Amino acid sequence: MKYIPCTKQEEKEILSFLGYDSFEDFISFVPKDLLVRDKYGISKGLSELELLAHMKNLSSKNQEGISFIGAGAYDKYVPTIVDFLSSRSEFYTAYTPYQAEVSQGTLQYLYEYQSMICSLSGMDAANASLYDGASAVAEAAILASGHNKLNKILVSPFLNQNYLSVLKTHAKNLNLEIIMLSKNNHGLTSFDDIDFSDNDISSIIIQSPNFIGQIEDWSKISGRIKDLSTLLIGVSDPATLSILNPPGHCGVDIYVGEGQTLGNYLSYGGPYLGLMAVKNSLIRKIPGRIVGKTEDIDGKTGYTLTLQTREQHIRRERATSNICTNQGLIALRATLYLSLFGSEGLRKINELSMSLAYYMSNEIDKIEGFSVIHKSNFINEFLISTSCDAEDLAKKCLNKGYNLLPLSKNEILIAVTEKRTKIQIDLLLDIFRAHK
Amino acid sequence: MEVLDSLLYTEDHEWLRIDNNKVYIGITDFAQSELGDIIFVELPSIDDNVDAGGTIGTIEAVKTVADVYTPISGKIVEINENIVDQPELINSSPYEDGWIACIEFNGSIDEVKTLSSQEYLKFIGK
Repeated sequence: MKYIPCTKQEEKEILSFLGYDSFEDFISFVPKDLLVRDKYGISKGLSELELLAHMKNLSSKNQEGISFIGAGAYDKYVPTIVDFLSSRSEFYTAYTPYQAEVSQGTLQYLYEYQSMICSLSGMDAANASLYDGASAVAEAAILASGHNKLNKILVSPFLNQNYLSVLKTHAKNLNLEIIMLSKNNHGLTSFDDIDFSDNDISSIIIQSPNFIGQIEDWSKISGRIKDLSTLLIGVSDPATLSILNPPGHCGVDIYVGEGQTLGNYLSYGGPYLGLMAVKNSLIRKIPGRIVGKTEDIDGKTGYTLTLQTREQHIRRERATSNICTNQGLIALRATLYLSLFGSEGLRKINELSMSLAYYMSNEIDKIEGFSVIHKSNFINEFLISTSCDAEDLAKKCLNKGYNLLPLSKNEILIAVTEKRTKIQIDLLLDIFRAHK
Repeated sequence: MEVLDSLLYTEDHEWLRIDNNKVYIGITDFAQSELGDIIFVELPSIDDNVDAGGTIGTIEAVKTVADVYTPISGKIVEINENIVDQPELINSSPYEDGWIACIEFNGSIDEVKTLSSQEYLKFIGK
């Protein structure tokens, strides 16, 4: 079946109105070597049977190992009920809830999602989610700059490198200047060399736990900027917030994070979930959708998109962001996950992964040629140094079914989620011990 | 549509009340009725330097948002804090209680393109 927007006759009329003889004539400004001559090089179709065999062949090449890799994406336990409920067709096929009267289910779960993110982060107002952690970081920096009209962004050297590169992409064309802060000896951001006297710093971006797993103290820096227009952007894995002092209680102005850890699989890198929550004073600057709770004409509770005057379909070129959608299905999964576990459950998950991580790090430290670089102040992710070649070791472990992430020739970043077991850890340690 | 003879007007639907080298700025009755219920106002800060043609604030109605422009360069010397808590004052009293900001200007007001009340009425086609 062909989709035909207009007949040959209509096409001829349009072209002649525009003063062209033919469609080829109309697109003659396109360099010849850029035009597709053949039929796109797509082979002819497969039967269902052939296609299934082909896909099965491709998927059999995936090697699913036991993951000790973190660095922003974590192999977390996802309860089956999250898959079951989120795949219900009412949720699965729903589109942006423009029409509140037929979208109450979608709007209600997004409202609950926002409430849970506020409760986790200690912030005043959350949006209905952004694309992923990286774009949320960039949006936060843009928000800050739009708010205080300053353009310097100080960035922790321990911000996830993927977030940094997305931030740089945005900053390049927005006249934002990125300045990297330095590291101290404890695997934390150093605030010593910040010069506040010019009062031209738009925002400071600090991730905690940071890229190498160390817990940063936002309140150390928020106290120093509280009389300035500089905003503090706190980046954090939301799954850790049940045991950390939440950003909202540490003087953070904008909280952003990657919500993959809330009921979502690794999925080879996406789709993930961008979290953002702000203090009340910034609510009219936050990008993206916000769902509000209201009453209908009969006084019954209802939900609707609200504060839309921030968004570009109303504010046009003066909108502070071009985000006008959200990551609905992934936000739904996060909502289900959070409502299943509650704050008590989240704390228990953290305690479990923490006890495994500390067991593993203590054992690694005892192995000759290995040491844990920062032995405390982490939750479930830590950096080890190896006297052997880290790449070689990672390859050897991969052959035995374990995934590891070398950060440099002699460093490996290890994450231990609640899905790992003592047996898995012990077997991996045996490989370490045997490695020369 | 109320238009006061004692004020000057701009094509951006703002009124100006000159007081020596200071000018009070607000939006016209016509502008507030076009916007509808005003729910939020963003004001400039005192001592902000502003350039002619630049924005000095934002007025948010239920379904739209409009910028407030200044027709003259100068410095913000007063802002109407009352409209922060009661933005509806702009709807109910656009020429009095709903004023927005006061600018101390450096140049001459004669160089600014303004309209008289009669010209403004004509401009909005009333």
